[in-house]
Amino acid sequence: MAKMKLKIDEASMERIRKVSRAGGYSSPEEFVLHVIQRELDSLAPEQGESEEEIRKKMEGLGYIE
Amino acid sequence: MNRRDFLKLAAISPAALVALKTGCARSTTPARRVIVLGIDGMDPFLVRGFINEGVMPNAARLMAAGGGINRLGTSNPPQSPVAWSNFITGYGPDVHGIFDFIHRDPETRIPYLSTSRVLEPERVLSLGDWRLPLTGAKVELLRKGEPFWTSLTDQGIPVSMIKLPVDFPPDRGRARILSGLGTPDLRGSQGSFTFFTDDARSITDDTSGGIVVPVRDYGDGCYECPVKGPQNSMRAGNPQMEITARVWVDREADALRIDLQGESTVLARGEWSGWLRLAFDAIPHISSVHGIVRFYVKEVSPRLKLYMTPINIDPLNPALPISNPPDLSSDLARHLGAFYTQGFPEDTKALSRGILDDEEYLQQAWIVLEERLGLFHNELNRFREGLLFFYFSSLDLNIHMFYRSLDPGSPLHASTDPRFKGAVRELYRQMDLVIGQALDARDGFTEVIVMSDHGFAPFNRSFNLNTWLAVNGYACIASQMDRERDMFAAVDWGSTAAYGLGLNGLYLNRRGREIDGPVAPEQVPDLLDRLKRELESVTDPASGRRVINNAFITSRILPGPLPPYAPDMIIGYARGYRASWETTLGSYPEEVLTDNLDPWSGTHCIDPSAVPCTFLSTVRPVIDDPDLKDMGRSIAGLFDVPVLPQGGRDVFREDGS
Amino acid sequence: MGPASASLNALFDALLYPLGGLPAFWGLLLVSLLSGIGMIAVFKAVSDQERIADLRRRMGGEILGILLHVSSPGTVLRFAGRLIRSNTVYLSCLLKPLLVMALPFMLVWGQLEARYGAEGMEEQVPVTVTVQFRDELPAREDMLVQLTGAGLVPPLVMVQALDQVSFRVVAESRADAELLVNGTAAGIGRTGEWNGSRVLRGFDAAPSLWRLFTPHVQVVRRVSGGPDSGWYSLEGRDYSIFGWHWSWTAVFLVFSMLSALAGARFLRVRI
Repeated sequence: MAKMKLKIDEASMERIRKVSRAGGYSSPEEFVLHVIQRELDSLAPEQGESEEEIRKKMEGLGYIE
Repeated sequence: MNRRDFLKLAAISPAALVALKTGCARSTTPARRVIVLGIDGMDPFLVRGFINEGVMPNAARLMAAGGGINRLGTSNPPQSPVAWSNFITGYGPDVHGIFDFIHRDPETRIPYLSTSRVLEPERVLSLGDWRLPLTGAKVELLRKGEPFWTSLTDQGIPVSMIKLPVDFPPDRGRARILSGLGTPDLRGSQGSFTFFTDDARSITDDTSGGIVVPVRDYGDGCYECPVKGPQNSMRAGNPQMEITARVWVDREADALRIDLQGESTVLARGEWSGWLRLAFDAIPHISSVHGIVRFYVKEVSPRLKLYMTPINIDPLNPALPISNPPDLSSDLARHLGAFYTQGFPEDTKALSRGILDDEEYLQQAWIVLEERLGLFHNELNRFREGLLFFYFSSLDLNIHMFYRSLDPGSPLHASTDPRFKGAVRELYRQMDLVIGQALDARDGFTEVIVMSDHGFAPFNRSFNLNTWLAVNGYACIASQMDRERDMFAAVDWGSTAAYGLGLNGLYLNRRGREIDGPVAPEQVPDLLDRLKRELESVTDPASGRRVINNAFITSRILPGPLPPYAPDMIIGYARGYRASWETTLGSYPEEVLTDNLDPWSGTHCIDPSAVPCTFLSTVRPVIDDPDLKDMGRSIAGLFDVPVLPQGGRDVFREDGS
Repeated sequence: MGPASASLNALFDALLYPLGGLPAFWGLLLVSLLSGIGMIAVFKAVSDQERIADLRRRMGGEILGILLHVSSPGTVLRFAGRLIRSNTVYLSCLLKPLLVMALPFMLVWGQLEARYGAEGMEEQVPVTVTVQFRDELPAREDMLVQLTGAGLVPPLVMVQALDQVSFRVVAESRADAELLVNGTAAGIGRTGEWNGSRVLRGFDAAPSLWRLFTPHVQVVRRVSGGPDSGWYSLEGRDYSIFGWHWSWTAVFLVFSMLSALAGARFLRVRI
C-alpha cells in the first residue's frame, strides 16, 4: 500500500479526532481515508464494470430479478 | 489439537501453574457467557401467534424469563445488510455506509452490490497469454465503522461470530468469524445455479439467478456437461475456467452416474448428492481454485434435468477469505464436512424460475438448515466463555418464498400446494428447538438473547416506482421500445428529475453529481417535499389502499454528512406492497401497480415501523424503545468490562449508558 | 500374481502389526523414521564411500577455485568444466545404491499408500463402487450384487458404452466389508480394525506384475461372467500436525528424509 504523509494543524487534528470518535470510526486515519475515498468517488469514479459483469455479481440476490 | 491450540496451551500452562501455586486459579470463578441467536427475519407477530398455538414452547420459556416478546426497532430501510450493519456498528447508514443491497455510482448511475468489492491486483506481469499478479487481488468490505465486539476482544473476552452477515471479508481482529450473508459464490455472484437439460422447453436466455445449459446425448447415454467456474485472472482477457462433468444415464434404472474429475457419483431420480469437490486450474499443476457443488436429479427420462447448486467456495481450500482466523473454515469442514459458504444458501431463484418446485426447494432448504444446525451444535459444545453469536438464514429466505402459504391475500395462495402450507410453522418450530438448546446450555453465568433484523409482511402488489416517476413527469422516456430493459436504457437523463434504484432508494438526478443531471442544488428541497407529498398519497386503484406509508427524505432522518451514493429518499412501502422486480434495476414497465406472481411472496423492504425485529432475552430490557443499534452495546454491557462500544444505548440499564 | 501379492501383504501385515495400536499418524511417523534409517544403512552398504568422499572433496576444491579466480574468466571456465565432470561421476556413484533401493522403496511406498493413504468406509456414508466387465455387460436381471458387512443402495447404474456398472454401498461398520458381483468376490475398505491395516480401494481379476506395487487393489480370482476389475470412491486421508494438514506422502517424504540425514550424520555416511 502506498504511503503519504500529511501535515495537519493541531486544531484541525483535534476536530478530526472528535468527529471520528463520535462517528464510530476505529481511528482518525479510517475517518480521513473514508472522507478522501468519498471525494474521489464523486470527483473521479473508478472505471465502471461492464453491464454483464454487474448483472453477474447480482445474480442470485433473490430480492431483484 | 491444532497449531493455535497447541501454542495457546504452551502459553497458558506456565501461567496456570503459577496461578495454582498461588491459589488464585480462575477456575473458582465461572466464566461469563452470552449466547446470541441472530435469526434473520424472525417476525414478532408470528412468534406471538406460534407461541399461542404451542408451536414454540422454548420461546415461551425465554419470554417468561425476559418479560415478554420485545419489539426491536429495525433499520431504515429494513433490509438485512443495513440492519445487521446497524447491529454490528451501533450506528446508522450515515456512519456504516450501507443504505441498501444495491448502491449506484453517483455519476454514472451504474448499480453495484453495496457490501463488498474485489480489487484487482495493482501490478501484473504479462508473459504472452499469462498474467502473473505481483501483488495479490483483494476483497474489500465496504461497511465502515468499528464492530462492537472489538471492545470485547480488546478487553480479553473471547468472541465467536458464526455466519455473521455483512462481514465478508471477515474482520481481521481477534474474534473468530465465519462470514455469512454477503459471501459470494465462486463465480463472484450471490448464487448462480446451473441446470443441465436436453428439454427444449426449459432452455431460455434468462440468466437471472443461474444458467440453463443445453446438453445432448449422442446415443451412448452420455451427456458432456460443461461446468463453468470463475474467471481466470491469470490469463489475458480473464476467460472463464471450465471443467467437464460426464453424466451417464441409465434410463431403465431411472438413475445416472456423474463422473467429475476422477470421482463417480451415483444418483437416482429425486436424489441430492453430497458435496462434490471441484478444482479449476488457473495455471495447470501450479495454481487451482477450489469449489464445492451438490447435484439434484430432477429427471432422467425422457429428458435429462440435472440441477447443480451455485459453486460454493470450498471451506477446506477457500479461494477468498471467508473466516478469521483463515483456517477456521477448513477446521470446521474437516470436523463437520463441507457446508454452504455462500451468503444466500437457499436457492430462491431456482424456485422463482421453476427450475426447482416447492418440494425440491424445501428439500434443499432443509439441507441448508441441517448443515447450519450441525455448525451450531459444534459451536455450542465448544463454547466455554465470552460471546457466541450464531446466525440463521433459514427463516428469512424460506418465508420470502412461502409467505403466500400464510396469507390468503396472496395472488398465489390458492395455487400453493396445500402440503407446504405448514412450511413456515415447521421452520419456526425448528428455530424454537434451537432456542431450547441454547437455553439448556445455560448455567447461572450464561445469558441468552434471540434477535432478528426485521419482521415480515406480504408482498402481494408490486409498485413500479420508475414508471410512476415517468407518469408523473419526473422521468422522461426517450425510447418506448426499451422500457422493459433495465439499467435505465429507456431514459433521457437530461429531462429526468428522479429515478428509483434498489429496493427502497429514490435518487434525484442532480446537476454536478449525476452526468447530465438537470436538478440544480436550489431546486432540491422543494422537489423532495413535492415527491414526498405525492408519493405518500399514491393509492392502489384495485383496493383503494395507500401504497406508501412514508417517503423519508434521507437528509432529514440522517442529518450527518451523507456519502454521494446515499439515496435522496427512502421509500417506506405500506404492508402488502414492495418495489417491483422491474424497477429495482431501472426498467419502466407500462403499469404502475401489478400483482406479484413470483413465489417470492414475503418482504420486509417496506416502512420500518411495519416490520419490527423480534427480541427475546433472559435479561429483562428496561428501555421502552430498544433498537438494533443498541444491541452491540447492550451485549457488551453483560460482561464485566470497563469500556463499552461507543454506539447505541444499553437496553438493560435504566440510563442506557 | 495372487500368491506373490498375498505373501507381500502378509509380510507387511506382520511388520506393521506392532504399530497397529498407535494412532495412524504415529504409526506412519515411526515407519517413516525407520525407513529413512533403513535407506541410509543400505546406501552405506552399497555405495563406494571412499570414492564419494574423494569426489565431494574434489568438488569443494573446484567450487573454491571458482570463487578465488572469479576475476579470471578462463580459470573460472576451467574449474566449472572440472566441476561438471566431477558432478557427473558423483551422480553415477549414486546410481548403484539408488537402483538397489528402487525395488524395495517402490514396494514399501505401495504398501504405505495402501495402509495410510485412504480412510476406510465411514458408517452410513455411501461409497460408489464401479465394476468393469471385459466384454458386454450382463443383462440387468443377470446382475447379482451381494454384500456382507455393508448394504447396497439401489439402483445399479449400467453404463453400456463403457461396460461398467456403478452402485453405492453403505458400511455397517468401519471394517471388513465383502462384495460379491456375479461370482467375483472382493473386499472393500479396511481389512482389519488396527491402524496400518490395508484399505482396499479396488480389485483386479486380471492382474499384471504392476499389482505388486499397488496393494490397495486386491488381486482376486477371475470368474466367468464376473467383472474384471472394480474401484471404490474412498476418501483420501490427511494428517494434522499442529494445524497443518499433510498427505501421507508428505509425512513420509519429510520424516524419512530427516531421519536419513540424521542417520547419515550418526552413522558417518557420506552422501
